Amino acid sequence: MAAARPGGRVDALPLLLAAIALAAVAFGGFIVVAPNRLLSGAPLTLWQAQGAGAPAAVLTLLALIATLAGLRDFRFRWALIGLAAGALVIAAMALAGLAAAAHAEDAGRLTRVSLGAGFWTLLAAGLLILADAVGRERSLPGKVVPVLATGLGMALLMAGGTLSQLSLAREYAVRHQAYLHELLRHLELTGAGLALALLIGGAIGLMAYRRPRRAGSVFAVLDIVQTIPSLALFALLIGPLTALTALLPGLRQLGISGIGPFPAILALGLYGLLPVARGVHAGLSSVPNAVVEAARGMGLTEAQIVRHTLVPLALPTLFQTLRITLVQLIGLAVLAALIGAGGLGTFIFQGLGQTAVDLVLLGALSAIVLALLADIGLRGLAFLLFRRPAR
Amino acid sequence: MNAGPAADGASRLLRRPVFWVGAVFLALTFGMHALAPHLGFLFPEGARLVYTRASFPELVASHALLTGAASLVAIAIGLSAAVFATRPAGRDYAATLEMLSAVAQTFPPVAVLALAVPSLGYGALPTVFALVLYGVLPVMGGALAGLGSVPGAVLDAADGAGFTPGGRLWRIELPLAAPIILAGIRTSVTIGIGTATIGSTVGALTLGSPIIDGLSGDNPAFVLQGTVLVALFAVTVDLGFGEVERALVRQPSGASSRTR
Amino acid sequence: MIEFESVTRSFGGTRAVDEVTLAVERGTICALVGTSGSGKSTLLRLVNRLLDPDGGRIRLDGVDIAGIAPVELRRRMGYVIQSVGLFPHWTVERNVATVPLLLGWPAARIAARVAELLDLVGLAPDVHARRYPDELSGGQQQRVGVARALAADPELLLMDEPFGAVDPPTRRSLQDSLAAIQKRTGTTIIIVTHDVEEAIRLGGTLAVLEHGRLVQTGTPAAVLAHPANEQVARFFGGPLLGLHLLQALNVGNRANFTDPSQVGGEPIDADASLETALARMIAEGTSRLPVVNPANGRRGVLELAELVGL
Repeated sequence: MAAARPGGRVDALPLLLAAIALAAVAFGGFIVVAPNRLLSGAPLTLWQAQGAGAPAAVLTLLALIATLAGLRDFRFRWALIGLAAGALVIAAMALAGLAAAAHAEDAGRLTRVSLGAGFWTLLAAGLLILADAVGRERSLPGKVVPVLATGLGMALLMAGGTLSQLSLAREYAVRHQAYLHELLRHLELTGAGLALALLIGGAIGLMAYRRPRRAGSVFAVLDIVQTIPSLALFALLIGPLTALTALLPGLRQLGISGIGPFPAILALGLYGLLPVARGVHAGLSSVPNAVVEAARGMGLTEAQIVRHTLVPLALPTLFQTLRITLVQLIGLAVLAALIGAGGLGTFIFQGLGQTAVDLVLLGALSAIVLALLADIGLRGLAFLLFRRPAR
Repeated sequence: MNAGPAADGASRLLRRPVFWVGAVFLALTFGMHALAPHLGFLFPEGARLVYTRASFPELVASHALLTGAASLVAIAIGLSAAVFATRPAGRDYAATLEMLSAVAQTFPPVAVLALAVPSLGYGALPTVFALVLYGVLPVMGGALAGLGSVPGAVLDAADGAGFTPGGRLWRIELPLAAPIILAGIRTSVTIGIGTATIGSTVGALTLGSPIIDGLSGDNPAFVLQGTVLVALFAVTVDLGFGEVERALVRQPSGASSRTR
Repeated sequence: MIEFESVTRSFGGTRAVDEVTLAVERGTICALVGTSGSGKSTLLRLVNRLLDPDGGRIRLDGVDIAGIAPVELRRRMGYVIQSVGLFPHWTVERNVATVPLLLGWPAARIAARVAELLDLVGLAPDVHARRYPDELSGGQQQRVGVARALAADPELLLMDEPFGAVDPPTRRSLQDSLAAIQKRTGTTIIIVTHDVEEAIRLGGTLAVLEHGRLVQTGTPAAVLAHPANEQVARFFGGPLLGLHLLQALNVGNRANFTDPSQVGGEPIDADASLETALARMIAEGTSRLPVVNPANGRRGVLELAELVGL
């Protein structure tokens, strides 16, 4: 039993992270002001960028975190640390937005204010303290409230326009239309790939459950598909599909071709096969044999057994499979841009090609946020449905 | 050592898929240059057939070096973190580490790679960074699961027998957790090979380079050469790990004669 | 000799072991009994410092164990637990050799000791030494567990419900083996059990725990004849307590060796338990049994009325 000893030891991690954040604020470049979007700029510390008030605010929050971390344990102590860390994250973002606005006004229209290493370190430290606090807080509300409050704060900052002068936001503003288009395309690709994976992978999983003797060889083949590097799998489909459309030109009218969305969806579907098939197999296998036997003994038909025992009992696992596969495919769909299928990867690879950092950030951060939202959303849904936190 | 078991071992090796896939991989690595000019029939549009930016053995070596170096670092970090989180002093951090790894696992590898570029520039460095970052998670996950799978009774018995904490870790916990730890390392290396392939989009020299060059230069011959080799490379390494796992499960602690 | 002096240990506010004072003599078996949650396992784990007390002292041959490094202390004691905890990646041989290896014994001495111990616990060294734990039955695994605990000639053997997970016939055979081994080696044993019969069969002394407090100590016969309170009586069988008392007493206690009248039939050993004698009376439909004392050959008679203590 890990009962806290009276007088307990000091929790080192929040203190360490707070110290790192302090150093980042004191010495790190908080924002970088560049004459235009392609040239590299000069870093400014928070002090230089915003005067004494801003560092003082950050310092106060860091002192609060350090004090709470040093206190003896009490109820909701970690929830309070989490809230303070969330406030730190939001303060960092708000200060960056305000600094950007101030410096963009001074200079010409082409001036770009991007985020510096000091900002990113402060942000990372804040998020890590938050994660640590959520991990250690015992009560469920104490875990959920700090995360929700931080998310809400970020959303308000973005909606309220505080961040609009940051180069990342300006990059977005310029590409508003294209962004929505590619985001939608990303979701379409992911959705179509997921549907394909669920359909075929589900069937394979069911088959493996019904015929356990074949399960081994089926999974061995799917394992190999999963082993092939994703980029290779995307590219591997180009050749055969191009050859196929050359042989059967009619296919081209159906929108099937060697490059573009079709091979991308196919590759995403193939990649999703293994997690889906394994998940379905594991979910069904996790239903105790005794339950199925008992159901059979009470005279349920095979269909009733599936409906009343197998599916309800396997549902949490099946739902988890859906979450893992969806998150994985959202990440992989980034590669679709390489074979001309569009999606958020378009911005990343364009940005990499033009060495336009903000464009890369726009695509990469969007993909990360999308994957995180899908993960958190489905975890929350699973919790509401099954009253048990998903693992 | 007489010839019997050695010959027996060789013939057993011949029957393993890892041998054949590996042989094809090596043959193509060294033979691709000679083979490429004869692939014209596959590409009637008349594309350039021979990739010239680097030789295929060079690409394989660079790819393997990047993945190998990053994997070693990732294994060291992941294992240490998991061992720390399962010791009395670090147990408080176990929940945090597990949650961080769950969150980080949702990050798309390409996005992590791309995010490394602004601070590390183009080339091998951001690739290694992303490889390490991404490789730590499965190693740590596997090690946490493996160390957690050692039955409490065994740990209790080990303490009762008077093992020192270090002795218990080295001689009881790690050997018992080894299969699951190895599975984590296997996943980590497989993901690493895949991520290194994407590394060529930020300028690292890997087997992904012909694929990326072929895609951007509209040259299907390069794409095919790159994909086939990298797929064979990944499958060979994965099957190789499979062999090590089999050996580990069959002979715990290297005992040679297990009667059954 | 091991002495507990006002030993207390709490978990999160509850006292699992509460002011226990107890002495276990060298060369005896002491059974710690009580319902689950009575603190008997905690008390045992305080002895090899898998736990440390919050208050009080434990002395081993007069030396406070708080001053002995846990690792060194544990190597001087054997430890057997219910789930055995054999190291699954080591052979039987290596498992038994654990503590001698830790102590750095020479290989030849270890090999000889392993063979001797396997023999002692009733396993054939040439058959079982090279096997892995998962290739043994539950009873065999527990025999290996006992051999491992005895490997380095411990001064003290600590056993935590050692035979709780094996079937009843195997359990009895293991108990007999343990009793025989103890007689041969003279090892001091502290055994935790909630099995009343096991406590009676093995225990030279019973120490009954209740909510962390020691409520009664004494020989099985004494405790069963005069349980300290209602709970102790209930623990030892409630309405069936009398039957357990028959297990704790032997024929010699109640037989009459002065009555010259002889009874026909196979005589029963004076060492046998009264329970065995009663079983024979019922089976043979008689109220008198001939008795022989194997030590001196004297003969006597056991009457049903004497057996039930009238």
